[in-house]
Amino acid sequence: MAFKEKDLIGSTLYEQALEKGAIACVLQGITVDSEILAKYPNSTIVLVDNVVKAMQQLASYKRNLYHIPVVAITGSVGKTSTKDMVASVLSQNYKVLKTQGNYNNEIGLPLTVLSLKDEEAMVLEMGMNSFGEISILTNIAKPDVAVITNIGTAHIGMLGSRENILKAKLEILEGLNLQGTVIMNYDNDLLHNWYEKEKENYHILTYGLQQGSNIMGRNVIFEENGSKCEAVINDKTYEVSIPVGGEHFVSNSLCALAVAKTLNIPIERALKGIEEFELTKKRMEMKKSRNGATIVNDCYNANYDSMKAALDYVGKLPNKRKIAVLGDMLELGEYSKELHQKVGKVVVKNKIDLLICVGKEVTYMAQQAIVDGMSKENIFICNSNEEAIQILQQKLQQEDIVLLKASNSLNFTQICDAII
Amino acid sequence: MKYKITIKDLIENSNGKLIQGDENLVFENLCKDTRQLEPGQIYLGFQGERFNRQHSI
Repeated sequence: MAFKEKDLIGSTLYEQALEKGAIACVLQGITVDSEILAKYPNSTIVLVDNVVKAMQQLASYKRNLYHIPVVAITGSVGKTSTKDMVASVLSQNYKVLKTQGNYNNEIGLPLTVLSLKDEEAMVLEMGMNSFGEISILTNIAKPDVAVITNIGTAHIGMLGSRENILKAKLEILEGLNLQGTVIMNYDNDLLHNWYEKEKENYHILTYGLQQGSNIMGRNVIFEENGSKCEAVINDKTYEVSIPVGGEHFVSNSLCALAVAKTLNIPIERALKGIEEFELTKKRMEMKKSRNGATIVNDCYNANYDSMKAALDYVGKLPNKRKIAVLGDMLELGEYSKELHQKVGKVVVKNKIDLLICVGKEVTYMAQQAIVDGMSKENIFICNSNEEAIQILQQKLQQEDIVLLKASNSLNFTQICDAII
Repeated sequence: MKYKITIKDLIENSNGKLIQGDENLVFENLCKDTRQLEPGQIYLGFQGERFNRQHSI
């Protein structure tokens, strides 16, 4: 793990932790000062070789004590929303512990497992940057169900090819229980091909809109505040009502039905779990980025009024520099151009310093901002969330405030997750 | 069923060393950031969490 020297500070802060009331500290690589020990005689201090490894070993120990169903989810995109949907469906039968926020890595996953109390099922998200990472996570989680949502091109530079991304994601199978089930998205070309080759070797359930999926969606109708579709499972057809818009939530719902089927949750109950699904994140959620900047995360809907409200709100805050990352407002029909232009005006009125636009209609927003006096150099138009992430990673400073706002289907949560 | 993990379990599973204190202390309520630490929590001194790492995919 390539840590930068300046980051190697966690264990040196134990005195600060004790001062703030920590009852125990788990530390590595330091000599604990006897004066500090004497100053906090009731504290418990443990030294280990490596705190990350220690948490992984302890999480693995704890996992083995519990005989509860564990679902592990990985994929290039859509892990978080799939995890939330699966958890919602499982909640119909179990008290569920699920990954929170970005706790999907070599530290977050063990901490999630260690937070297990009386829950009866776990839904764990697994992220990675390189080979070997999912392997560690799955060997801790020992999933009964392993889900791969898709294989995309995000961060392909690190692994070299989509085939390599697939290979890295497939590490999830290393920890899968022998009688476990693999659930994968049949609509994804690489997963589809893998399934065709490996279907005899694993117990696999597929989901998707493609003919031949075990859980097959069809007749999808996109509505303003959600979608409807049919799910065909073992020649029976079920009506699925999804309370959140966006195509990926149709896919997530089919995936959740596959998990329900695997864990013997009656499909009718699972459908209720989908209907009752709520996006856990609230509007105008405040977060901190990794470098300390303030993030106003408002990724779940966007119309002119809510854009204006959010920009007016950020405009009034005292932060030195204001950044707005705004995406297309969808379903505006013939009013689209005019309303995006109006948002451009509000951006300038609130003295936003940097405007990062993602999508197509946002071009009108950017043009209007320039007309109203914003410098071109401070406006970026991006075709994808990845581009916006790159710009933020270059530009973001500690004292900044960043507003993230777009229609839900633009999946701006991805941007938020990348910078926190 | 709820199992209580203790400092003793930590020490046994990670080959750790108790410098001082109570090995029967329940290992819960963990915190990895001194800025967010609240009284009564157990502090984990992670060395070099990847503040600079790219988002996991």
